[in-house]
Amino acid sequence: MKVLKQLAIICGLCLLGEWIAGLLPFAFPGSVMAMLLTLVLLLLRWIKEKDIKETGDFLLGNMAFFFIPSAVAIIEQLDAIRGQVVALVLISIICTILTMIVTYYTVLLVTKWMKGGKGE
Amino acid sequence: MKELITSSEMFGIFLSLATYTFGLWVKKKWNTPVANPLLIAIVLCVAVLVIFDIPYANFNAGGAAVTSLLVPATAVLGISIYRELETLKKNFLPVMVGCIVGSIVSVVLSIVFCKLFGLDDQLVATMIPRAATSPIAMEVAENLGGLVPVTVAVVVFSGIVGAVAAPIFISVMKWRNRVAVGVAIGVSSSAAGTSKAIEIGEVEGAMSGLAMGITGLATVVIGLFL
Repeated sequence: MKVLKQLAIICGLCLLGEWIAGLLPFAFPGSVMAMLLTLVLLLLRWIKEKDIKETGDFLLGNMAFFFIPSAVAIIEQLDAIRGQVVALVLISIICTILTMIVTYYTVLLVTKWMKGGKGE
Repeated sequence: MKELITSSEMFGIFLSLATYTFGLWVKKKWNTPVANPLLIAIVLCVAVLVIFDIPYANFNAGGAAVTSLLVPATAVLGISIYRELETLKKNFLPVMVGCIVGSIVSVVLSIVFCKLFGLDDQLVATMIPRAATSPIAMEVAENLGGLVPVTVAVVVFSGIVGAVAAPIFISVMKWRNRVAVGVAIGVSSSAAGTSKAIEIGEVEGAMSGLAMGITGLATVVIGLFL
C-alpha cells in the first residue's frame, strides 16, 4: 500500500515533468524536468520526503538496472558502425576519462580559490 | 520451443534481472571496480541473444517495461539533491563552473578525437552529445544529423566507463573532495555514472545527479552553436 502510494506520487511527478518539458521551446528531457520538479516541491514542502522515501530509495539504489535493455539495443546497430567500433570505443573511453579529470580539478581549483579569497 | 519461451514479456524482464543479480554477486565476490554489474548484465544479455539467435524485439517486449522505469529513477534524484542541499549551497559556484567547463571540454574533446580517428561528419555528430543524459543526447544528435541509436549506446557505454574509472581515480589518485567527485562523474558519465556515484556516497550521488541535469542543459545550448 505504502509502496504503491509512493510510486503513484513519483509517477505523477514524472508525468507533470514530461508535460512541462513538452511546453518548452527547446528539447529537454521530461525525466530531468521531473527531477527538478521533485526538488522544488520538496523545498516548497508540497510533498514531504517521507511521502516518497522508501520507493525513492529503492529506485535510487537500483538505478543501474534500468539501463540494461536500452544498452542491449546496441546489437541492432552493429551494421551501422561496422569497422568503426574500435574507434568509437576508444574515443568514448579517452573523452570520458579526460572530461572526468578536467571537471574534478576545475571544481577543486574553484573551491580552493574561493577559500583563498575569504582568507584575505 | 524457443519462440514459446522468448516471445513472453517475462523473457526480457527475467533475463535482465537474472544477469544483473549475477553481476551483483560477482561484484560482491571480487569487489573490484572492473566487475561492474551493469556491464556484466549487458554482456551476458547480448551473449544470450546472439548465441541462441533471439531477436532483440523479443527481448525488448519485456525490456521496454524495465526501460520505462528510468524516468522515475531519474526523477527521484531530486530527493538526493534535497538531502544534500546544504552541500550544494556551500559549493554552488564550484559546482556550476565545474559543470559548464566540463560540458564544453567534453564536446570539444569528442570533436577533436573523432577527427583524429578520421570519422565522418555523421559519426562526429553522433558522438558530440556523448556526455549528456540519453534523452538529451538523442535530441542533440538528431538536430546535428547523427545516428541516434548509436548515440544511445555510446552514452550508456561512456557512463559505464565513468562508473568503472571513478572508484579507481578515488583510490589511486586520492580524490578526497566528495563534491568534486560527484560533479566529475555527473558531467562525464551521466546517468549510468550517477548510479555508481549513489553507491559511492550520498554527497557524490546528489552532486552527480545535479551535474547530469546541468550538463544536459549546457549540451543543448552548445549544440545550438555547432
